[in-house]
Amino acid sequence: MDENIKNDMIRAYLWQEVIMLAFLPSRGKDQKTWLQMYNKSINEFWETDEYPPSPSSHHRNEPPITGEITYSAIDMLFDYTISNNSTFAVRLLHTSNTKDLMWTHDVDSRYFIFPIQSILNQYNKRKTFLKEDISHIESVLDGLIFHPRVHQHIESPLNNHEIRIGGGIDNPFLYLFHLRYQLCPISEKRDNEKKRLIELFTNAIKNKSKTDKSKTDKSKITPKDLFMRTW
Amino acid sequence: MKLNRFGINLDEGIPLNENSLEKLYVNCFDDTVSQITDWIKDNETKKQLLFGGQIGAGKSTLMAKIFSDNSLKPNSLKPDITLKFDREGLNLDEGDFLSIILVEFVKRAIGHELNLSFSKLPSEVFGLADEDWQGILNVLCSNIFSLKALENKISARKLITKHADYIIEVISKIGKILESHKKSPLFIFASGLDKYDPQKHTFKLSLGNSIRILSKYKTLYEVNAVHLFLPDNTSPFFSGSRKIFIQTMSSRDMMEVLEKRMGIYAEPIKEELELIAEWSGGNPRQAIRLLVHYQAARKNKKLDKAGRLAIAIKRSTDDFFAFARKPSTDLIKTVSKDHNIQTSLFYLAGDKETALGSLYGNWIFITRDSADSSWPVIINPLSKPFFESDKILSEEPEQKLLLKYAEANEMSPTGLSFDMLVNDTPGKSADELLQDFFSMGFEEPLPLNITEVFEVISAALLSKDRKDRILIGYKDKNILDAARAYLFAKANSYEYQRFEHLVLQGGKDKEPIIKLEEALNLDTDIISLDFTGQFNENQQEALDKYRDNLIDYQMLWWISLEDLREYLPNWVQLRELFEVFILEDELLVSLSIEDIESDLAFFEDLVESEESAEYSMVTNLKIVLEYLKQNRGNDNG
Repeated sequence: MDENIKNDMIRAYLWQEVIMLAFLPSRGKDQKTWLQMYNKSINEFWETDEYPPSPSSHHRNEPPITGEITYSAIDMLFDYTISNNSTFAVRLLHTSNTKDLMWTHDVDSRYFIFPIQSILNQYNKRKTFLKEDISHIESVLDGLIFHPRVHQHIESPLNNHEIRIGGGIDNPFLYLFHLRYQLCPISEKRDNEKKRLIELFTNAIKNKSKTDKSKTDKSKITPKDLFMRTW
Repeated sequence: MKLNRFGINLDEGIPLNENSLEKLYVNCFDDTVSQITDWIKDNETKKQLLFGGQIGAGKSTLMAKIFSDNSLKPNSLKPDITLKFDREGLNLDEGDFLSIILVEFVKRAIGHELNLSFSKLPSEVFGLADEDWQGILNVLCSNIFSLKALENKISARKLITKHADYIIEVISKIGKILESHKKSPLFIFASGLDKYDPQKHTFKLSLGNSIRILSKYKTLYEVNAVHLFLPDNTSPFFSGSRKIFIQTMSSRDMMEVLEKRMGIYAEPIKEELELIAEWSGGNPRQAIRLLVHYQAARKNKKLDKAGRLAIAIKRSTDDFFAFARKPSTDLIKTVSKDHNIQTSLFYLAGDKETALGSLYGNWIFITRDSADSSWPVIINPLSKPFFESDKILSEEPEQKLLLKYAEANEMSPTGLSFDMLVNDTPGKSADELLQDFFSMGFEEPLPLNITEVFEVISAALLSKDRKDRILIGYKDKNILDAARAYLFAKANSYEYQRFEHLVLQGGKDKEPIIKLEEALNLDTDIISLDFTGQFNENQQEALDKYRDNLIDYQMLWWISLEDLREYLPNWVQLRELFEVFILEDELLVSLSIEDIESDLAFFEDLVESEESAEYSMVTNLKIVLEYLKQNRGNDNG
């Protein structure tokens, strides 16, 4: 196999793996715990001295779950409505003078998208490729979180702050997670977070391969680890 | 205080400590610092120093900065003895203050293993063994909190009052032993005297002997600006004492303070910070309070840009001046016209509307030290609306700036979001809107519903790291249980926060300070206190002076509006560390059954144990839900 194609295949399986490890909490309690930890982590990560309101659900065991992340330090907020892992909407609003909607990131699972997951599963080479060099994890996380290939720049109210909002993210938890990273204006924290996540996912994938717990939840990265404060 | 390295660091303007100095301190009192430092370094002097400034001017922070200076030799500028006169007052009588001095003198003597056999004080007064000086410490400042220990302390203090003359003699002798051991003047820092209103009984009578004892040593007294103006015949301080005044901060320095507080997030709101600096009148605590309220207002989606600043100004005014004793309009007019005040005006004895009262209550700010009898002064920008309801808005500099800002940002009638403005005719100019705002009756605090109160205090209430104090005045007692349950529930949104709710009773034969001490010793995260009974003047003053003991506690105080009107004028010091809210007497307007049920639907799944945030959240939300259902039922029925 051509080296470039091989590397792409490794990255593709790593891409799938990262999402499965941290961004596919099961419906109900796991999703709620993930969002609760997410909300809690925002204050520490952005150092805003402000907690967002806690998420809520209309019915105990039924979607959707809704939440709102206030970011008054830069006069912005975003709210989310998650129906399931492939149907959600996130509205980004500018709150400087009035509550102006910037845009809504809407993912509607009734419409076709290139079925990367189905193809990878059909190809069935996950174990083979994940045994290869997983140092590609950095470029995979770049594409998923740190520097999505398809992205919008929005004007930052803070100097020298680069925001890249991924345009093609169809997983609600990944989308929220990348917003957390992208909207953090503190470069030192962004750098540290990047290093931490590379290490976290590298170790998780290695451990999963060793113990072959691919079919159990035990191999997943817990929200506690995903949002661990290490700075 | 937990410090953010790059981001926002807010509190309610409490003094900086050694951890936060490096990050947040602004070097702006160099001359004052060098004067005090030179005095400390002068080992020949035994002259006392009165270091005075107005409430919130930064006295304690400046002293912390000086004492932490290790540039010459570690601890070389630290006092030999620090006396905290605002930390130990149970009854504010002479015994309280003498015991503070006795304890610290004995502690130092024991620390240096000095021979105190000249007296049998331990046995003569306290019924201990002849030489048991440590026993005195054990009784007067026990490390164990128990009812027995507290009773012993109170009894011991009564004995000190009874034998005051003898105790003063003993303290004097210990002082000589300490000086002889040190071979240079004993440097004493008497902190917290600034909390005592010179017109009140406690300062005039109970503190007199203690201050006279200290006048024999090289003592640095931390006092309020008003103490610097006391005429010699009424001042307990030695008439030849040196006096140093901490002035107001320049707008430039204040900007630096605010920028440091906002960290990386200062940049987008530079213009707003400049306005806050102007409205602070050069008082750093006032600036930080304005900033705290401005940040809270930014979360309110209904407010426009100018409305946020206007609300921050109004809320800060409520905190510091709601129901306060107002100075006479004549005095304010004179100050406003002359921009200075004569020392002789402070000497006028009489009622509480004098210049001294205005200075003590921060209605006016002295801006600079003065060598002669004329002191440059301004009216506190926050207090101006109390005196100028019929004046044209754009006359005062900070108001002009706010107007300019409102015009530039297209202020709208809905963007101020006050009830009184809701029905306003559209099309009013920013000038007219602000004119309405400033003439709306600043003396009455703005009532908020429970969700609005929560929105303002959420940054503090949701964080275990923040220790803020909230004072809630209520009209309707019937909604209190549900309102409290709502706040307790929300406090557990992200972290498990235990709370204790207690009744603090005032009035004859009641000991509210002892009860408060009990509350502070509880192993809990949030202390909620329901004030009942009629607190007499002495009990109100004791609470006022107890202010700094509360710095490390997250507190919610619930006081009926009627009582609050009476207490707040006497809590000039205490209110500096509290945010004051008046709770609307209607819960159903702000809380909906649907919202509470949505919160419950989210959290019920997450409960794993009783000792958890989720359990606390769910339990308290159910109380709120029950209240709402019952009352909605009544409405329907």
